[in-house]
Amino acid sequence: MKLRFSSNSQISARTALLSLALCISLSACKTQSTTSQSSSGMPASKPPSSSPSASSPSSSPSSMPSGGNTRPSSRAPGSTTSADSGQQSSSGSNNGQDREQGSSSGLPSSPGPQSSGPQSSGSGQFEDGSLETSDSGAGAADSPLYEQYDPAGDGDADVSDASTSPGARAETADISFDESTAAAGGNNQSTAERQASLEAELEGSFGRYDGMILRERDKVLADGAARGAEDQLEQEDPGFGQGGEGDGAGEGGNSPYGAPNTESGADSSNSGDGQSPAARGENNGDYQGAKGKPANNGLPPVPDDIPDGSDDDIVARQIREAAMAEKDPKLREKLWEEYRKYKQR
Amino acid sequence: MSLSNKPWPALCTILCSLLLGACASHTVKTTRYVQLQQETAEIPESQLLDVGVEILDPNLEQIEDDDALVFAEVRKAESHYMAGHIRDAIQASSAWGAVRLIPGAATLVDVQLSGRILHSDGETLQLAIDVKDVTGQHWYSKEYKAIASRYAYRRETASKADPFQTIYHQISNDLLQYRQQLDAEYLRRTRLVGELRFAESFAPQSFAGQLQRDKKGIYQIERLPAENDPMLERIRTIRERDHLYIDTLQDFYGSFIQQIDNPYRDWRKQTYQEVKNLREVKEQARNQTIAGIVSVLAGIAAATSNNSAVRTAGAVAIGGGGFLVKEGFGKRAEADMHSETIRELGDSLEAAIQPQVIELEDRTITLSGSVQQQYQQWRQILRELYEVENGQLSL
Repeated sequence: MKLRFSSNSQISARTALLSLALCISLSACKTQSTTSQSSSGMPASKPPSSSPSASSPSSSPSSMPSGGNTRPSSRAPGSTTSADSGQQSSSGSNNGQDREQGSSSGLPSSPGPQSSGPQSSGSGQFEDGSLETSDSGAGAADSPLYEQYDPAGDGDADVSDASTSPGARAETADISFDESTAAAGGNNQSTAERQASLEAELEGSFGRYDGMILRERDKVLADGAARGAEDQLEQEDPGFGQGGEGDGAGEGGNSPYGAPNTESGADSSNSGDGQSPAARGENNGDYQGAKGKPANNGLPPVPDDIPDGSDDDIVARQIREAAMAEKDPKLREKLWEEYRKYKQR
Repeated sequence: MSLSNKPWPALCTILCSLLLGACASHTVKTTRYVQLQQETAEIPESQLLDVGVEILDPNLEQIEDDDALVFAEVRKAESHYMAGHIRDAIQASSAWGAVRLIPGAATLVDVQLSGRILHSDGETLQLAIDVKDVTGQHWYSKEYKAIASRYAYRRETASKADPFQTIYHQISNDLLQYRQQLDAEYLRRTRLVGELRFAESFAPQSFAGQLQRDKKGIYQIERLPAENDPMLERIRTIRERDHLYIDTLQDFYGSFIQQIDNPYRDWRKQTYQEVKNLREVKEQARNQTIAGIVSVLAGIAAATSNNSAVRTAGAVAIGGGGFLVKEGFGKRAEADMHSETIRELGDSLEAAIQPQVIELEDRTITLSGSVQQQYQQWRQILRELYEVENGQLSL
C-alpha cells in the first residue's frame, strides 16, 4: 500500500512537475507574445516588424508575399495560410497557444493581440479583412471567434509573411522596418487594387446602364417613326373622330412653341411628304426620286442595296418611310436593316 | 292689408315668375388670351434651375361622384397630356434649365411642380397647382380655371395651340414671376442643395451631415464637399445617368402624348358642344322648375283674393307654373340625354386610348424597375468604395 502510494506519489510528483513546467513555459510564451503585442501596439502595418522576434522560424515559407488585408492578391496567400494552420494544428493542438503564438502558426483565428491594429485602421479595413478571410479557410471561418479576430488574422498573415521572408527573420530592426514598409506597401497596393476593381465595376455598370437606356430610347424612337408613317396613312384615310370638321388630323403632337414634343413627332410630320393615295398606288415616285440622292430636309441618301420600293406592301412602306425620315444614323441603319429583313421574308 | 286690397303686387309677382321662366340663361365668356411671358435677360448658368413637372394627379376620387362625368383612363391620359403642355409652356419661357416631366415626387429636381385635375371636359379645365423647391421651401399653391372658346374648336380659327393654352401660360407666367423675385444667392444655393440631396441619397456615408433640415423642414447647407472630391465626381456621373433616365421617360411621355393627341382633341371637340348643351339645359331646367313653383304658389295666394281679376290671374299663374314645372322636368330628361352622349363619347375615347395608357404604364414601370435596381447596385459600390478609401486614409 505504501509502495503503491509512493509510486503513486512519484507519478503524481512527475505529473505535477510536468504540469508546472508546462505552466511556466506557457506563461513564458504568454509573456513573450504580450511583449510582442505591447511592442506592436500600433496599426496593422506595425505588427509584422515586431513579430519576427516572437515568431519561430519554423513557420512555412509559402505564405510570404503581400500584406494580409489585401483583396484580390491576398486571397491565395490567405488560403495558403489556412493550409499552414492545418499543419500547425497537427503539431500543436492548443488553440489558445496558437492564438498567442499566432505569429508563428499563421492561423487566421490565432492572433488575438493584433486585433488592436486593424481596429485603429478604420471600419473599411474590417470589412475587407472579413471578406478576405472568409475565403481563406472554412475551418477558421467556423470558429465563433472568427469574426472577432478576423482583422487580426490579416495582421497575422502579415506576421507570418514577415517571419517567412527568407533569411531575414533574425536580422535587426532595420530589416524588420524594411519588411514592415514592404508589408504596408502591399496593403496600399491591394487597397488600390480593390478600389480600382470597384471603379472598374462602376464604370462597367455605367456602360451597361447606358446600353439599356439607349435600347429603350431606340425602341421608342423606332415606334414613333413607324407610327409617324402610320399616322400619315391615317391622315389620308379618315379614322377615329375625323367625321366632323377633321381639324384634329395633322396637328397632333405639335407644340405651339414651334418645337415638337418628341423626335418622333418631328419625324412623323416630315415623313411621307407630298404623297397621295393615287401616287402611292401607281408609281411610288417619292422613293424612286429619293434613291441615291440626298433626301429632302438634308437627310442622308437611301443605301444602294435598298430596292426602289415599287413592290412594297404597306408594312414595308412604313418601315421605309420611317428609315428615310430618321435623322439619327444608328437608328436609321437599324430601320434599314429591318426593312431588308422584311423584304427578304 | 290683405292681398284683395292690393291686386298689383300679386299680379307683378305672377308676371315676374312667368318672365323668369321664359328667360334663357346667358354665360358671359371672356376669350382673353394670356400671352406667355419669356425671360429676356440672360441667366447665368449657376442660377438656372431645373424644373420637374410631376405627372398630374388625375383625381379619380371624382368618379365616385355620380354627377361627374369622369373616365378613369381618360383622366390618366389627361394627367400626362396636361403636364406635357405645362412643361412645354415653362420651357418656352426661357427662364429655366431643363424642364422635364417626372413620374413622382421622389425624383429630385430643383423646382418641383405638382398638380391635380379638379375638372376637365371640352369646355372647362380647372387645375390646382403646387410648387416647391428642392430645399423644401413651398413656393405657392394656386387654382387655375379656364373656359374654352368655341373658336378653339373651329376648323377655320383653331390654331395648333391647345384650347386651354391660356391656363398653361398662366402657370408658366406665375412660376416665372415667382422666380424673378428670388435673389441670385438663393437660386445658387437651391442648386447646391439639389446636388447634395442627390449625393446623399446615393452615398449617405460620404455626404451625411452636409445638409441639415431646420424646424420648418427646409434643407440648410452645413458644409460643402471639396470640388475635387472623387466621390462627388462619381455622384455627378451618376446624376448624368439619372438625367438620361428622366430624358428617356420624356420620350415615353412624348410618344404617348403624340399618340393620344388626335383622339383626345376630337373627344374634346365633340364633348364641348354636349357639355355646353348639358350645362345650358340644366340651368334652364332649374330656372323653369323654380319659376313654376313660385308661380303656383303665387297663384294659390291669388286664388284667395276678393278681386276676381286677381283670382283669374292666380288661376292662370297656377296653370302657367304647372306648365313650367313640367317643362323643367322635360329639360332634365334632355339633360340626361346629353349626359348619356358624353358618357358614350368618354367610353369611346377610353377604349381608343386604353392600350396606349397600359403600354405607357408598362414601359415606365419596367424601366424604372431596372433603373432602381441599378441605382441600388451603385449605392452598394459607392459604399464599398467609401470603405476602401476611408480605410486607406486611416492606414
